[in-house]
Amino acid sequence: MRRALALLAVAVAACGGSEAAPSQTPSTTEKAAPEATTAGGGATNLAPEVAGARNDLDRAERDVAAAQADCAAACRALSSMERAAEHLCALDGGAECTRARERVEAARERVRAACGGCER
Amino acid sequence: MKPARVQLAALAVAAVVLAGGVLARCSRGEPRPTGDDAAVVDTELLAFLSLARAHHHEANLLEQDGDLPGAIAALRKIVDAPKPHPGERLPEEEEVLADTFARIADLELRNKDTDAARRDVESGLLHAPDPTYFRGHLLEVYGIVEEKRSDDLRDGGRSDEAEVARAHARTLLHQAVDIQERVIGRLLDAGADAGTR
Repeated sequence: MRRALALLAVAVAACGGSEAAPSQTPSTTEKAAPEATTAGGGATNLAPEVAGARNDLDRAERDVAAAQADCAAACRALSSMERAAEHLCALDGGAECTRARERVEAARERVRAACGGCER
Repeated sequence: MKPARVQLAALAVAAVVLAGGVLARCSRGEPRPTGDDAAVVDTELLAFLSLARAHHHEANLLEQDGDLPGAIAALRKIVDAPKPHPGERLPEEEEVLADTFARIADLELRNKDTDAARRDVESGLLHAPDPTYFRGHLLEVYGIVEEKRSDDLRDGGRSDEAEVARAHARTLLHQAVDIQERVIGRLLDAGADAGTR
């Protein structure tokens, strides 16, 4: 359930993130930081390199979340592909089946390499 | 599947559908409604998505009790419900409908109503015209429906029709494999591209 909710949150965050992206470039953040300090009356005054690092961290966090969402979707597609190939082989155990199984195995390997496998 | 897993799977599907819709709209760069319109659009769509989730939960419980007709009836309330914006094709709504028709068809097949399963999977395909996971899943279910129909026809002594249904099943299952392979490729290629940026 946590994953499902996280996935939804990721989607919303990703959408918002893309819109907010222009304001998160290092140069604008560097300009914005002192203003935040003034307004906040003693809030953290971030050095440019710290602000840049924070942006990098935010970006990396978004990338990880997006990758998790892609892996969940890839696993779902792989399961469907496996079921379809299984039934195809039940109908025709010949060359068609062999080829379908090879494609499923290649897809499974691809998902395993990118995502570390799928939960069963 | 264990009951808890069924519920989790349904929640995951609901989240994926919602997330997919949000991302789809986002990626197309569609403007978000503003002001009073935004409230109306969000409320209507969210109400439909919430109703869909509630009926999927209801179907989970009925399915756990072995009440397949009850589960089908619960899911049919989603496809029969008033839609948020009649005449418009909202990605979120279309994905929910495609996914719901696929689940209805699967339950009907298990309930040994092959004709109903076939009708519903064909209805579902109208909501998933592009090569997405949802279309691939519907084609997978359709292939299984045709496989079963072929068996039924053969058992009834209608071997010519059985052979036609069997060939159709093979075509559909091939298409499902093709689409899901492309879906996986797209997803992982996009992830690899993001990682190199």
